[in-house]
Amino acid sequence: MMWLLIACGGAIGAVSRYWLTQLTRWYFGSSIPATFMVNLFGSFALGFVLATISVAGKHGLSTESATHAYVFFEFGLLGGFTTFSTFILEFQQLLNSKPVRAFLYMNASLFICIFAIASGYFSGSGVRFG
Amino acid sequence: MYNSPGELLLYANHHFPIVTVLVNSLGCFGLGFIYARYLVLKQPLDRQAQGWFLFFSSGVFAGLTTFSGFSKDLFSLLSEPTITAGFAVSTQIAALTYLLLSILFGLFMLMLGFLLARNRYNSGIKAK
Repeated sequence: MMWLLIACGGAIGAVSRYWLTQLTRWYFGSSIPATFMVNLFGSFALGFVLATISVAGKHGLSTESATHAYVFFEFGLLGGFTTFSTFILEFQQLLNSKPVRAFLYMNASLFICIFAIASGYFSGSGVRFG
Repeated sequence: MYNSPGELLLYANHHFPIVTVLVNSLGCFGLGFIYARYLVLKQPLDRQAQGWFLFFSSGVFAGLTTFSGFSKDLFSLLSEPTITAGFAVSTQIAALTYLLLSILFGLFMLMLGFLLARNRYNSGIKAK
């Protein structure tokens, strides 16, 4: 029943991304702030989740439950929430009109994703159970 | 070697994460294709077509690709040496290769999908 976990997570993730995109389209007139925030937050959350599972494992979480949690978050919720293809499409669109902004967007995204997953991982390592 | 399930999942990735590259470039191809089709067929004016465009672009292809998996792979490539064809590759080189491969291949596949759809649907319009 792993696919059901992934399907539920993916549905929640994709719909929240869509709503956020609509919000920034209305507010900024562009989907780029939404994609940037989604990828930033998704990377942070994945780091946090991985570290939390790791901490919970030390407190007796079974490998089976850990795998279920991991699959739900990584392939379901956060996999559906974050997007690589929209990021590349926006980069390509910007490249034609504003190349400097396109490279800024690319570098900011790449830098921030590593920073976000590392800070998520280290803040998640500080979670205490019991 | 590993203390817990979480560490196992994060560091189990000693091999180059080619699956994420494939999934991401496949999604890029699909999104490029569907986007060009949307523009060429002037679907922004058609409400029903707009719904299907959202289903494919925002749902299928954006959901297929993952940025969190991409950052996770970069992070684990930077944390542990990768073993490629029996050789331990330095973390920086593996991470840089992964990064460039993902971005350039994704961009290439997006353009390919875009141009294929544009030619296909443009010629369809001309034939009529």
